[in-house]
Amino acid sequence: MRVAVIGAGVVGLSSALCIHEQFHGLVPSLELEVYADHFTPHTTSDGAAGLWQPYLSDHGNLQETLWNKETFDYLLGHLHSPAAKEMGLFLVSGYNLFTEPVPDPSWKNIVLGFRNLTPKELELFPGYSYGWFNTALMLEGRNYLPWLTNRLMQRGVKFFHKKVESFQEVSGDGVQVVLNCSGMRAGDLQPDPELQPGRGQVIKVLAPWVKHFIITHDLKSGIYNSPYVIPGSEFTVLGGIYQHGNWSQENSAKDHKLIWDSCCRLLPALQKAKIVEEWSGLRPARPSVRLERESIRVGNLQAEVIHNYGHGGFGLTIHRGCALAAARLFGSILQEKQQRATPPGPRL
Amino acid sequence: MASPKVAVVGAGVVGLSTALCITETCPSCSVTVLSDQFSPNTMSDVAAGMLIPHTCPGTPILRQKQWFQETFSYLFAISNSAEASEAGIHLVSGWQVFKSPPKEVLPFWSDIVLGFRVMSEAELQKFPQHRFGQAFTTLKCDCPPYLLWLEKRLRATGTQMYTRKVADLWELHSEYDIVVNCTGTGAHQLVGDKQLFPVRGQVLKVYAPWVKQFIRDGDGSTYIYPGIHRVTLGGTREKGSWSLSPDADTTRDIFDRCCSLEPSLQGAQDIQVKVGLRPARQGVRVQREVLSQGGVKLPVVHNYGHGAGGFSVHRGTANEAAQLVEECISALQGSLSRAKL
Repeated sequence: MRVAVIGAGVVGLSSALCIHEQFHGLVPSLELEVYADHFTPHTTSDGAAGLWQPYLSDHGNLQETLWNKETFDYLLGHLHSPAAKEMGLFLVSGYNLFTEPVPDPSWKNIVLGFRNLTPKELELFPGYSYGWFNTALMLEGRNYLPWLTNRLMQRGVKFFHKKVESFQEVSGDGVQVVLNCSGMRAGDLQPDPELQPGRGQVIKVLAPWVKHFIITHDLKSGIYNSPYVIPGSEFTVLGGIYQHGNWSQENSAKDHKLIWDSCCRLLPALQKAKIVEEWSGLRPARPSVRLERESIRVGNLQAEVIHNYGHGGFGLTIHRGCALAAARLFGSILQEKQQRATPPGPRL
Repeated sequence: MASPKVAVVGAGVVGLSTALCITETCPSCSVTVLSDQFSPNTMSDVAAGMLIPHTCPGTPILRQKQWFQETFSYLFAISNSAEASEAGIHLVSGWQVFKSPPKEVLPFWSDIVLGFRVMSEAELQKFPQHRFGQAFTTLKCDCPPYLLWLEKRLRATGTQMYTRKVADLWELHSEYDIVVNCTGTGAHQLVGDKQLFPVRGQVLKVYAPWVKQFIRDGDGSTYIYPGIHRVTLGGTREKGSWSLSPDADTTRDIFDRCCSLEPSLQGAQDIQVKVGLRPARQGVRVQREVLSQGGVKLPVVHNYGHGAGGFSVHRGTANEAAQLVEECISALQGSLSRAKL
């Protein structure tokens, strides 16, 4: 049985791995193929800083909160494994800052040591009067994606550098299931007006004295439109741009200045930091993640598509929960195929 | 006395910060730092520079707390400024974990560090051998950057610094009006203080940039302190040992103990081994003394014996020593006026 995965970002690779882990023993000759126009280090997942943190509110979407929790617990379980360094996985603590009191987030009991900031701590951040402190995880795409790729290659999964233009292109010829993990480009495969770019830009600097993440929030401007500083294993990422509907992946000088000035105001020592890289990317934003099955016609055959896209700015945060859910959908597809293949026998 | 000449002997964190405090309280003083070693070769350079006080049995707790508060406030302001990275001062959060609950639930410094609280069950899962823990945020002074920054501040005030081995404080009596003794372990020999004894500490400085949090075993034996470029892994506490040579078995032991607290350290690179001697004493000696020979007097201010807690209290003791220097100057001016009558 051939399964095509479209997309080699964190969602595509982790979904492929989940499916292979769970089903390669059960399905004879399960062949997984990953198709993508971009591979690490050129995917959206590679540009992200890699901080595990969902948005402030899940808008009642408990399913996504559960997927976030599954991901956090999965990663926490790997923290002490020898693979952690290779995966780009490590603990990090830090601050979320507000100009007014806000309700606690859906993830307060998922992260470690969640608490409000003390008045003395708030002295560090003039202009902010309320905030949280907690310990979370970093999962750096530039390490995690190669690690996932290696695991997949070890399992015999094949990779194809190809820009897929339609589901029909990869289905047929024995491909019975297509995993659509195409992120921002899902609209090219099947129009989805709910999927919009949430453009971000980041500046990567050398500032190894920064040991905490600092995420500020401006409730009027919306998520990630307020400065943030995230310490990686090599570079510190400065950001604070979220432009809904902007498809440009070119670095903007205006955004650079905004990020630089606001982050230096937040942490004056950053003025001395050396700039190493600048990057813009498009968060595949959607009111909710599209994680569902769809049957599509391919000639006179039928193929099953499992959609798994629209993870906005929380792909790394939610990836494992979604990959497991995609694997469950795959399992139900298998079950249906089996039931059709073996007609019910006589009742005993 | 127009421009009192003050010699500060010792260029570790205590010597340099004391010299700086003197230039601040007595701008008319001419301050000179004399030391056989300067950064990066002082004992202070070996230390991680974490602001976590050690309780000194011979000094009243309130005084230690005052010193720590002054030091913390001083460094907090620097960490929040544009100079933070040059000065090597940065905030770091982490955990102090205990195998059995500590006698003291709240250490005297718990309201000075930031966000001090007891660790949750979920947090303790990371430390299966430990049953109790405290989480907090404190400051770290990376050396050499901090010492070099202090030297830069001193030079800006016109302070001179010379490499010189002072064998006897009295040898300075003709060149200087007041001598400040910040010689740390050197005081054992220099002023014959038998109460001063070394506590040898071996540490590893490794490259492990993904370690962003400190971890310390509450018994003080094992710690992981992430600095700007390197993580300090420790350590040992060998009372009475004067040996500055690294020991290979100790290196192995420190590494193993730290890896059991933080398994990812197995991937640490470029392990450097360092040894320092903590200048331990029942109580920190911040005190005036007057040496005299043949009718000639030399006022001395002592500021040594900080043991394992030098960085934690350095600015507080430096302030106090500078006050004592002021007293010495007043006393000298008093006797000068009397001489004139």
